[in-house]
Amino acid sequence: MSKSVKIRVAVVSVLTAAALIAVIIFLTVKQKPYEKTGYAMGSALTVDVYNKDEQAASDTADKIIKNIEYTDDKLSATKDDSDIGQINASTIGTKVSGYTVGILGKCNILSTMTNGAFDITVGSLTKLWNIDGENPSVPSQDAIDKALALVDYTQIETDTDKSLVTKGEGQQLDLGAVGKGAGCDAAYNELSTGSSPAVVSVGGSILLYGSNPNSKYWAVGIRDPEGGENDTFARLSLSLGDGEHTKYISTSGSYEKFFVQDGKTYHHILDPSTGYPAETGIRSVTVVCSSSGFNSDALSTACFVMGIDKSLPVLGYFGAEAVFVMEDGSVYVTSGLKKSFTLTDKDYDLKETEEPTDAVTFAVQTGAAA
Amino acid sequence: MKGPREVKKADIIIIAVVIAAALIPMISAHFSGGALYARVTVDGQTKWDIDLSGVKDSYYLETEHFRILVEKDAISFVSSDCRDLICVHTGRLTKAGDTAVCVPNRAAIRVYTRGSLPTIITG
Repeated sequence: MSKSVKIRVAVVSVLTAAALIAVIIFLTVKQKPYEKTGYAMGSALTVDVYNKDEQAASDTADKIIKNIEYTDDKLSATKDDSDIGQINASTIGTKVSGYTVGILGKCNILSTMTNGAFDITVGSLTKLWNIDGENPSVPSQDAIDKALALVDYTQIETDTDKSLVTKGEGQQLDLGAVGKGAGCDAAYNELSTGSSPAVVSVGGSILLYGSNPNSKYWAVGIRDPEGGENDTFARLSLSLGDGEHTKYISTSGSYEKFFVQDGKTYHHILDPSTGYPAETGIRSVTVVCSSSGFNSDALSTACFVMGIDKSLPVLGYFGAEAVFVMEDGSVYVTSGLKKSFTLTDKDYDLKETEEPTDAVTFAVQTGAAA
Repeated sequence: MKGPREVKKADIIIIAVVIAAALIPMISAHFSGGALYARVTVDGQTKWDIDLSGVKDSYYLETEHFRILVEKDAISFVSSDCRDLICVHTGRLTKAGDTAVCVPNRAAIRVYTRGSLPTIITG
């Protein structure tokens, strides 16, 4: 090879290498989402929209936040002018939005399927315990009994045509167990009109929409019940695509709100059958499903109250998966979630979960339509 | 009139140096995933964007409702007029994905690395 040919080969090689590096950089640059923060349901909302058109992403994020605020305005029990506030204040039937009637219908299904472990008529008990208050304490047994007598979801009646809701005398509704999940559904309603992937968090209830533009998976950390706000003990690597556009993730944990009296800890997840904080040995439950945020949120509370054994067939019926963290540090993951689950904190002990009872059998047993 | 000049070794070195000079900052920026940034929002609007890794001397950011301490690779709410002080108790945020929220004051801090989405947390 002559000297001039060698030099040409060298020049071409250098330029090719440079071009390759530039192409690799271009292809692997991560797409950064448009971020927006809002506030509703006593929590922060974060909305991450992946759209290179910043104005379009901003518009989508704004609409999502408005949708979630609408949900809060209708379902909040602490707002007097919300639908739920008006139902609670009324002694007769209350005319509300069609949206709220629809939500109450879903609540009824969840209550039936969980045999009352999920029950929105716990409002009187929630107010009595007042764990959000400044100085919560254990109420008297007499007060608990009186409040417990008002807990009965079967007394809620809805008239869809007239948008009318009636409740039992003295009953108080509390939709705190589904509000954040319903907020995720409200976010989905906006996203489903477009195609931008997005991640929405409503106080820790999460909607994943579309495929992650930067990875095969969306990474979701599960909060460490013994740690701080930003500490996680495990990671879920969840993929979307192939016809599946959404994942909803919600967690209920006894670490969220609690107080200590006479050396005993009392948390905020009340058992509608006893009137006291649920005691099933569970520290937290994370539920993942594709159907709705309402289901993931309601099921996380219901599973906490029911305990693992009763939860598994219910989860199977709703096509949902879960991660249970027990008070002794053991962790149980349902079969459909095992491949996505990574334990990142060695203080926890991953155990084998028994396969859930067949969902169809459960549906027949409970008389539910399969 | 002179004909086209033959490319010499020195020319190749110059070309390589020019290309390297152009690519090094790109490569450096691309792979410097460890640099931490923080975004402080109030009422959903970005109030401050901070390069935490570039902080040399700690300093405070203040509004009439809360005070934030900015340190090298860390940021935290240090005081707030809210009742529950959850934002202050959250402590120092030191890694991508860490967040602190003051709901009563509608303020939030999110820590992230350039070009990457922080892991989102449920619970």
